[in-house]
Amino acid sequence: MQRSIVPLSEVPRARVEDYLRASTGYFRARDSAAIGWKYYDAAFNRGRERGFAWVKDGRVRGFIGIVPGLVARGSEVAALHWTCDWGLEDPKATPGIGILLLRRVIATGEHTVTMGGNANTRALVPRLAARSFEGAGLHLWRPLRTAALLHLAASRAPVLGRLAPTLLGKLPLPWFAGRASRHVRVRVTGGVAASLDALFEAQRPAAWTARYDVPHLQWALERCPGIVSGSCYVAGDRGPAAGAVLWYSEAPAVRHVRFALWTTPGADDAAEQVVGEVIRCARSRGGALISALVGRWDTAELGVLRRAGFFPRAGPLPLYVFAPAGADVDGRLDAGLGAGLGGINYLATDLAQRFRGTSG
Amino acid sequence: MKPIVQVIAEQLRVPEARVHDELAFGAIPEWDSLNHVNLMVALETEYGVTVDEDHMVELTTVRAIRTFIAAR
Repeated sequence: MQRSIVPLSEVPRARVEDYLRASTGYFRARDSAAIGWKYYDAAFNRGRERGFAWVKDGRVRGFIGIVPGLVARGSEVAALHWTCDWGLEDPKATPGIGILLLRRVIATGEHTVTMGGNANTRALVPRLAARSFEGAGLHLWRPLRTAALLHLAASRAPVLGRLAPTLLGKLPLPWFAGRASRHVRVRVTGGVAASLDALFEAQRPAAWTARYDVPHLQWALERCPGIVSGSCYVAGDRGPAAGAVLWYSEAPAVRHVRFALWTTPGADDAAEQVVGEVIRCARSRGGALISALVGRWDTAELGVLRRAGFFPRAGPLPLYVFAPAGADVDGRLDAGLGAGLGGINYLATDLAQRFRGTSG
Repeated sequence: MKPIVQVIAEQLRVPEARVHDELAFGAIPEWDSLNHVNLMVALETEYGVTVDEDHMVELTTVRAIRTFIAAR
């Protein structure tokens, strides 16, 4: 089996673009620069395979994307794959091809992780996964302007949703910045701050945790077409003690700001200052609401955000871990992931760019 | 070699009495994408045939599977 499922690098780019534009809402609404950024960014790819395609009669008819990622525990670092853009041109007429695409990724020999997915995915994937975690990723949400509340109310009274982009939606909601620490200075930069690499290095988590680096964030946020990003961090003696990146899409009339937060042990105060600055930045840039996706294992970040007034909204996302078969399995990682995966945020897979109205 | 009906029933985890020529992918909850792949692998193992992706998307009824195996 799997003669016509081939690595993305072996498929003519024009065929891939035809398929993605026809089958994926995100790419349908954008020009080819978006596909170039996502799958053909040489600086990010560094020769790594970025997906697999099912090619039939010279056309791509099914696809699964890979976002190369890292996880860390203590000083150990391991590679894994996040999946994205997994789909088929005609799922009803091509049974099993989606499963073969996923198995092709798993067969590459690294652990593979999927987050979220539609009802079909959630019914099938747990039977394939080595580990399934329902409710792994929590959307935490905080309205900043009346537009966010009008969107919330629109499910019961649609007319209110139409008011969100008007002047009525621009009214800022009360916000108390909280106490500012005289000992903590938050630095704010445009784009992804290079200093964040020192924060990622310093984290040294006790359990396996998604690990990022500045090149990954520069690809995910700085070079993603239509996204504006910034960084906030608190510098300690040996680099940042806590930090965040925030970003938003330039397009929508009602601006939804997202962010990802990282802390180091014992740096709750610094993290609270960072979150306060993130909220301040989001408000000053016209944000109507701000949200973060946090893993249920990330208790420090969850505590900081709840104290800052964030509350859960929308359904939590499941997380599925697929272990490669055979002798190449990383036993340390395989056993460790049984306890979950820390460090989940919107940067996992390609959730960062998928803004859906104000749903979080 | 097991009868085709037995192989299909085992992979779909349904009684053999429910496996008839008109039974098709998606007609019962047990014949979903994942079990379809498992069924194709079982056909390869049991009958020594090669089932590629083109075959897989065509072998969506018991009758089609029976015809495919008989022709090999």
